[in-house]
Amino acid sequence: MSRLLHHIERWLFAPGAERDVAFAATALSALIGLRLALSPFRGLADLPAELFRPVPFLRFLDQGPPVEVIVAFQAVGTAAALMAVLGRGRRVAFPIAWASLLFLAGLRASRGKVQHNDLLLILAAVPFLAAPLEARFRSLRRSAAFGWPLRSALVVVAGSYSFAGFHKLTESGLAWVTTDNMRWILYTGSQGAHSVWPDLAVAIADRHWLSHLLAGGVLAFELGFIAVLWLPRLRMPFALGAVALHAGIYLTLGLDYWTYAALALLFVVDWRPWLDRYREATAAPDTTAIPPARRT
Amino acid sequence: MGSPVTHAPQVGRARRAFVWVFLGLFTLTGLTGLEFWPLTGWKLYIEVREAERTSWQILTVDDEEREAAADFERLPIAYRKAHSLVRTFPDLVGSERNEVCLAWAEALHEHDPSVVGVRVYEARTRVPAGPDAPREAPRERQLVHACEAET
Repeated sequence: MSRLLHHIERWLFAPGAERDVAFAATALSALIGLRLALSPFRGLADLPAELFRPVPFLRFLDQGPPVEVIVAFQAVGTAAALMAVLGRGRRVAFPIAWASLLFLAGLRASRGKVQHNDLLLILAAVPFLAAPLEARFRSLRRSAAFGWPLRSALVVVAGSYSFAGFHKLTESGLAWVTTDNMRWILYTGSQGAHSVWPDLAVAIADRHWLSHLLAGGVLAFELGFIAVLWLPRLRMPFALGAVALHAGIYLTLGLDYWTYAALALLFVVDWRPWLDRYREATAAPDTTAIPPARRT
Repeated sequence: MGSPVTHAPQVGRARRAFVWVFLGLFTLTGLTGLEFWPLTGWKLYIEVREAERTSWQILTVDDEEREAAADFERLPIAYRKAHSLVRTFPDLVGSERNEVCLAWAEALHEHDPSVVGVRVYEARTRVPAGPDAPREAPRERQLVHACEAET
């Protein structure tokens, strides 16, 4: 066990590029800002005490706060996220934006049901609360200080999918795939108020073989996601698979998990080659070099 | 030639401890299924769905005793998941159930004044095979709680 922990420690705290932290912190700030700005949090105002089931850190509240408080959190959080995206005072702005989302998402989760829509974004951003957020995109520095934030976030993203698959398997076993489970998920989802393409859900559900194939594919995908931690070649397929999965879930069931797809693209895809090319393409020309003399 | 590897700044003990504690808690809740928001067990769609299921029905009642499915989606966002509290009914005493039921009734009545009450049933229903499939009446149902909105 100690050998395993030692390997994990070496992998987690191996050197990373400062530029990668800057890129990820900027992207995370943008995602948090979008979530804060576009979510209808003000509708949570004045949730009565009888229907208020606060998440643990909100238990000091008796009921939903007034709309002015919610709007204040939303405005301050969005502004802080924008500052963090622009790289202005990110050390302070990023935690403020994150805390605002935590509070408002916590309110949304205090209506009696665990809602996962914002959870992956909140959790994947936690390592960055202690990361060197002053990181600069144009820096060439590599250090152990810059490796662990992205690897920690990758663990969170990969782990979330694999834990979801793990609980499907432990709760239901292979019956999750071999029974008509997926058909009834799709039939039920097709009747939901938010299903975007109910005919697609019904078309899949009407075809038993396709439903079983989809169920098996989803379970295998979720269980296998953790492999991206040690098999880099799997990272692009799984990132694209996550995008396809959440697009399909949105179309058929109407469930909004776009931040999950964005986080899979951000942390699972290895962006280093593209970042290198972008930095080379936008670097200022080296005017100190002396061109070789021409032969005449 | 690769980027320079510098040996400072390194990762201090406090940061290492922070990372280990966070990832440890994330893994613990993920494996055990414990819920301690925002840490979660990631239990999504874990139960096998079947054609017939026992589920809760929350119905509105008008002054002519006509029942209709309570449409929480038309209410303000604060109330849209409020029906999820019905799953806690087995753990609630009568007065607690009544508080929840009355809160639903008040909100539904405010949206639709014809609503005078709410009834909660536990029902065995067959899931329709699509939005256009016919809906069957519940095969069995049992009234669990009822309340009247204060009009």
